[in-house]
Amino acid sequence: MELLPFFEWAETTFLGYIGKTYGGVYATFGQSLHLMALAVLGGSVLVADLRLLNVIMKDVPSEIVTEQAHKWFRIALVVIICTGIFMAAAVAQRMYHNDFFWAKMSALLVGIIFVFAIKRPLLKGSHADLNPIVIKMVACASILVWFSVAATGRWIGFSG
Amino acid sequence: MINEMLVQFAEWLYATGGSRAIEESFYLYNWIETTHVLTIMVCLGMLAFIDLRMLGYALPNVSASTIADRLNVPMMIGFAIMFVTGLLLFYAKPTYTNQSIWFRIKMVLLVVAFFNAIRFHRHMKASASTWCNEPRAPFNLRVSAALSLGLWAGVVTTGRLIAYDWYHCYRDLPGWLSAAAGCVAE
Amino acid sequence: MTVKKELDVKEKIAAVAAGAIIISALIYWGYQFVGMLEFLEMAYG
Repeated sequence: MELLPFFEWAETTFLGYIGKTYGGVYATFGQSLHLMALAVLGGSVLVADLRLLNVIMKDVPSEIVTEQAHKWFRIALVVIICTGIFMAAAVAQRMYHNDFFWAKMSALLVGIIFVFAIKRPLLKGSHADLNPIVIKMVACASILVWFSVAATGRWIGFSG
Repeated sequence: MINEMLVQFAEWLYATGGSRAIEESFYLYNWIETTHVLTIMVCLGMLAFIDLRMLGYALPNVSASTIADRLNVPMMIGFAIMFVTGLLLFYAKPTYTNQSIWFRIKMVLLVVAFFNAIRFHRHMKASASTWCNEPRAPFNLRVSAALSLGLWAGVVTTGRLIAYDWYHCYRDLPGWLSAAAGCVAE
Repeated sequence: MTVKKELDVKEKIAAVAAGAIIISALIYWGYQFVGMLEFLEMAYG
């Protein structure tokens, strides 16, 4: 599937026009909001996964921690995707040709599928019934995938 | 006079070997900056959950003092990393950063956030036993928590804006802005 | 609490997926690290 025409079109949209023309809007409503959502998203991932790894909040039931963290994860994910689309629209053709952008999108897709199709269904019930090694593997994979999304995302700015 | 002193200090730092080594290396500045930004997830992420607990929006059925105590350590580890990387970032580009109005606003916000945190801590220590199992903290602590979220949102935004030179000294700035940004007569 | 010996379907899927992610991440970042070392060797000798 040829995606370049889509990226070329994205730059011509109203979103792309606003991002290109008004640097202040791009920096505050795009980049800064994206970073604030990153804080909440990363925080929710770490709070839940470090609890599952028995590193923090060992005296709070992991079911409660993961449930509440997931609530804020969803909110942050919506904000981060919206701000990400806004930012990418302004520089869409450059993104198309940037390897780290594609690495980030791959990691993001894997992360979203992993959280909603695998992790959340697994952790919805009682955690006492689950194999502890599986729980720790899931927590490590979650931390790795979201770290990769964040790191490749930052590196987009340093390449291309 | 303060601006002149700061400019001299920044120029002295700029001339040191370490400063040049970081800014001119292929990867070092980028790694330091990446670490600084990614540690937002650790430091501000934990802080966001503590503040959201106080406001009753996260983990309302868990004791607030438990949340604050448990998340404090990772938050402070994150803050230590951000502080060190922040110092290194300033050290790598001292003259540019010193005369960035956004950097100066960020420092003011950080100081206010620090005093807000002290005030929050004191009130928390004094009163937590009476309300820690309530879903929401008392009013004055909720104000501190909301202020904390707002101040750190400001820190993140102004931090991001440091990279933009719209109001830098070589632009045609009004007098008050020129003084606030630390511009000096050449 | 006794550790179950048999994993149910959800746990098996989770273990395979998590394992795949962990291995892929290690390979990807391993390549990035090696590439960076080669670049630094080219640049600084």
